[in-house]
Amino acid sequence: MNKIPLLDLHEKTAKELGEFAGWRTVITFSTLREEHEAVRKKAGIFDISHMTRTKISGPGATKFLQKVLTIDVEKLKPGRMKYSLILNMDGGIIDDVTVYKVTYDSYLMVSNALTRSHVLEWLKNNVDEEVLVEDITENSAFFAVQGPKSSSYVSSLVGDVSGFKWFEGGFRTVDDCRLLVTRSGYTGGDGYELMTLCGEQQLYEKVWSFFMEKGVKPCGLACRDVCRIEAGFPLYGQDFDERNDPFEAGLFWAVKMDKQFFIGKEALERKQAKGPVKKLSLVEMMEPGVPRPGYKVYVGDVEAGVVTSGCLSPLIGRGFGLAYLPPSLQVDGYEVYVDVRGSRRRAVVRTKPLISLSRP
Amino acid sequence: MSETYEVPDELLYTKDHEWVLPEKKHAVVGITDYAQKKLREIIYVELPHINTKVHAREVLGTVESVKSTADVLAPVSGRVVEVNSKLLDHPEILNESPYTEGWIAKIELSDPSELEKLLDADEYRRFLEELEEEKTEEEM
Repeated sequence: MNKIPLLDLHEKTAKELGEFAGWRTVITFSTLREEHEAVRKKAGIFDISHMTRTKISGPGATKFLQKVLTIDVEKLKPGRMKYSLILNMDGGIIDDVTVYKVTYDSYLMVSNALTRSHVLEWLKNNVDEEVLVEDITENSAFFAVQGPKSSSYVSSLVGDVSGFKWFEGGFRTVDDCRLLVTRSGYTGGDGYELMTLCGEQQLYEKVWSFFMEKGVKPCGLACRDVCRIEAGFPLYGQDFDERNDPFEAGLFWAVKMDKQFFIGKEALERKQAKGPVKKLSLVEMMEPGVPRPGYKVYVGDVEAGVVTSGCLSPLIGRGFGLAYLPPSLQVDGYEVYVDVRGSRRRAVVRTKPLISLSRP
Repeated sequence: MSETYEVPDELLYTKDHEWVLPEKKHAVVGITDYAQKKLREIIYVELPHINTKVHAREVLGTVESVKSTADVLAPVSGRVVEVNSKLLDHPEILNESPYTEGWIAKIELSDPSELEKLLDADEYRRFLEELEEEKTEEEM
């Protein structure tokens, strides 16, 4: 099993370690309650070094990414990041990623830990001449500082970054080493992500300890999961995978159909005409109970879908989750019932998440 | 890495990790230290309604932790006369104090002889040891 570079350090303070997608990492540092409160009201820091980081560069890099990603990479400006999908020929989702454009022919991509070998193989199988694909996951650390106060904490380490727009970033220097700092995250609130591009253990520890000393709360993957569910963000491997297309996963907004070509485009054109039979939807419990993966969702007495992830949201004090439902039910407040271990509990469909960023 | 579990002498136990404190015609029930440690951080508790009649081994309530859900089974039959409604707003009490502050319900016994079928503290301790041994064997 892989382990994140600061695992030994975290082990001294963490409450629960565990495995995620083949990585030994931290599930909880203190309690979900405290960690969640920090992220929503102040700032928390996640060690997300398990995520796959890939450098894609060379004269053919843009053309190559234009082919394997669903977004228009040519229109992406240096210093900007975008969310994208990687599709197979049938339009199935191989992964969801973010891509940061360093210069016109150089990119940094973050993809899921779970898909690491599959994505790298896919990229290599489709690679063009004059493109270099480098997996830098194990030579770097990756942290997410998230929460309404994150801007001032991150600025106090790397200089003023409060002017960054959402999904904008730049390089900053700590100990003669470059960090990519982007205003981004997976919690639905404001936040920054810091990726080290050189340096070793000593630098990673220095960055982490800096935030510890400032009082930024260390947060584990359990908290990250609750935050992303509240924000309505699906998780690859949990809510969708290669068996799902962007229509089903509710991620079609990340597909630029007017782009001349990308892998999976033809399949999507065919699928678009038919429309999906199920779509990932948000469900808010109106009665007690926490929606858990596999719980069935009913409309009246008719089975209509299934929960793929859920939590007890501290924001509303009720259960909230993601479920596959017929697209016709995508009406805010639509009444459904979730079968909570044999007991049908009233819930409603939501078309908006519990938190979404008013973009800085 | 072996964890230790608190097992107070004065209580009775079930193999499903509930505890019982007999009080004349009543019994106070809750979940054991082992149960709360296995569940980890408890985020939500569902309690029975007062006056509900329960049979031994029927679902009395539900405890949700960050990652899983567990039923609390009634260790004895009877009528629910009190519930610890403090748990609704502060489920963390179940982690902090499973044997005192974290009691779940008080049941008026319909068949006090059922108490004899429960484990005493020594029996429950041995049962936990067996569980841990099985777990170690599985890991090997």
